[in-house]
Amino acid sequence: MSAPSNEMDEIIDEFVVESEESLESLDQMFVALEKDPGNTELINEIFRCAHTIKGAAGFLGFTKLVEIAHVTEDVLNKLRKGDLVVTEDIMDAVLKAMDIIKEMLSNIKTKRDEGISPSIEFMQIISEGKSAAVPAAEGGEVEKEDTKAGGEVSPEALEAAVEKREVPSFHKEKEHNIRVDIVKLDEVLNLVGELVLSRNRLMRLGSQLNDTRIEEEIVSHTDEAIAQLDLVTSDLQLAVMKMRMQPIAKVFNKFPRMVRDLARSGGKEIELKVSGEETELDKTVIEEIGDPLIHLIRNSVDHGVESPAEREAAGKPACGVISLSASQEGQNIVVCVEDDGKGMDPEGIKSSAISKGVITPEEAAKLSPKDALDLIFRPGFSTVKQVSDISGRGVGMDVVKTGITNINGLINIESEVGRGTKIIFRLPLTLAIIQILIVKAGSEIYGIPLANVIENIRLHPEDVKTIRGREVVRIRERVLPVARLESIVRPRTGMQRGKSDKIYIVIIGVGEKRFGLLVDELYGQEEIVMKSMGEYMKGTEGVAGASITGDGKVVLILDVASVLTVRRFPLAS
Amino acid sequence: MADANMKILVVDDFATMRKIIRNLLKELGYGNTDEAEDGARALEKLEEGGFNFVITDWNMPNMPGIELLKAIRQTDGIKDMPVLMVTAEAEKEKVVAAVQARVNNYVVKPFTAAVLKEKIDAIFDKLG
Repeated sequence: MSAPSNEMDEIIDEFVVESEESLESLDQMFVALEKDPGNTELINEIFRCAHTIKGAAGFLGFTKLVEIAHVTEDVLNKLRKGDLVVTEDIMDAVLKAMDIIKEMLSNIKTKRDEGISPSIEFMQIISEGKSAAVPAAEGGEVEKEDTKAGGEVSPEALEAAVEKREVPSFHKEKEHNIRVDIVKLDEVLNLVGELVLSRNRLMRLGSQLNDTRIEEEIVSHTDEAIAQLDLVTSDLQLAVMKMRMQPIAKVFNKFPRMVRDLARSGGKEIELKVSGEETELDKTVIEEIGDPLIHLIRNSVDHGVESPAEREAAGKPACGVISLSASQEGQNIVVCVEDDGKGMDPEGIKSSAISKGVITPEEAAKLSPKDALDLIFRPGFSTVKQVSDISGRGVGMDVVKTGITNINGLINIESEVGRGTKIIFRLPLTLAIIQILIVKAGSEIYGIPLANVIENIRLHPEDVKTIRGREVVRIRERVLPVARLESIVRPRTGMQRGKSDKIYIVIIGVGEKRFGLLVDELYGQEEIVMKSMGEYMKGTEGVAGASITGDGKVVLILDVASVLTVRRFPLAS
Repeated sequence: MADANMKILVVDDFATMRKIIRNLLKELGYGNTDEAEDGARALEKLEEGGFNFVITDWNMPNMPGIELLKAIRQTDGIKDMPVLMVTAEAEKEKVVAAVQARVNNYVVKPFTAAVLKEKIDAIFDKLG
């Protein structure tokens, strides 16, 4: 093709995005196919996908991709025609081929080249798998043992042929493109039109107001126009927000394949039940929850669900169940990972935490069973004595917690020994709009994200004591470090106290960390859209961004996480 | 001869493919193109009128290319619409089926702009 190079670039980018999208849904279909090998509709669907990618790759000159898609398509074609029957080994081979295609696509995305070529041996294994094909028995049922005789592709041979590949993981680099449903775009366009109309009306009314005589009729028209503008603006905000929303299926789709592979390598039988995959979340949130979910599901497979023998001994069905679900509850999305495995024992966790020095025996004695479960989120904690190759190379649960906290989410664990474990994420629908508490400190107005505000208390200035050069306040028998809010954002202003006889303390927290901010006034809460600080002010410590309140004042939005981690403030924990 | 201003409908379920084909057409001077993601959607667009030529993929969900072709040939108003079928490999039985359904020509992927031009010219030369 001789299209101009930037146009070509655009086409290649689209090709990668579109192909990756098709492949995502494929993994799920493959797992379904393994359970229902006779489903020709599924095979057709999979075949069509490989076929389509191959077709477009041909136009774009990606011959290595065409080659591997072609042999895969051949195997699928045999399956489709009944010349081959679906076995786990054939599935392994086809899935490996899909992994190679995925890797090629990701190379094409960054380097404009497939980068790798499948080894000759691998291509042979796939083609031998088909040439030594065992014909499907006519009419009758096919025993697995029978099919192994000929069309077998041994897992060992596969391992030897293809360098060991990781379980498909999520792309680390952020994607900057988003495919938006035209219906959503039209809605936005329509609302912008409405907005322009309202603005025009207000402007005309405004010019009439300049006439000295203000008539009642004009006032009431103005009120109408303002009400209309209010309505349209809210709807527009919602519509634009929705454009950033993507179904959580984008993340969920990868798990059936992952669970299949992990269960197979761990000698376990596990069924993954997925529900609520149509639930929509902000793109940023979608990108952030991938890794935590991978880790939790790995944990469930590795440490949660027992081996078939153990399960039968415990009177459970040999096949374990992991359920993954998503649903919307008000302004939150709730994501659950639940298994029916062995559960977690609070006492076991406590003694393990003590032996690792995470907590002292005295602290352990005070912990409720629920708090004991939360210990798994502490850095340096792992209840597994032997690091397995499944969870061992993953991140710790503390990183899962940090990931979820970063997107203003909450985690909750429920576990019962012998019955299983349930981990619940509660995530915000969007990160674009936040609730803030508006306060005044010194001469400035600040906003504190409401999600991080634990409580507000009114004090007298003399309640603030100084211990070893640091300001503290004693609240309910607990000593809480505090600081003037403005001294955090503008350290050079020093620690001047307000002159008034009353002062407020806003207690902020992330996880178990607490800190008190001294402010002069509390003004109430408001829903705002946060703006970044721009190049000049970027990186100002303690400030996440700024916004403009309804009365036109600029407020600085506090970055609670950074305030809590700055070293000069000792933290109460 | 084919009219450079004729309106062409490109039918394929893969957006990248639609873009590639529309680009090739643009290269050949055919700028008046539209697209549809499957046979069913294509038929709707064709029935609305205004199209002079259809380039369709074979393998699509909902309504594959061959069904679209058959539907076109049975629909008053568009039954004489020239259709170019895009297939992956020269699969004999497919080509035979397409010819029986009175396809005007077929082209095997991947193809160049020059090959596409040849096929289009052949179709319209025949139609006169």
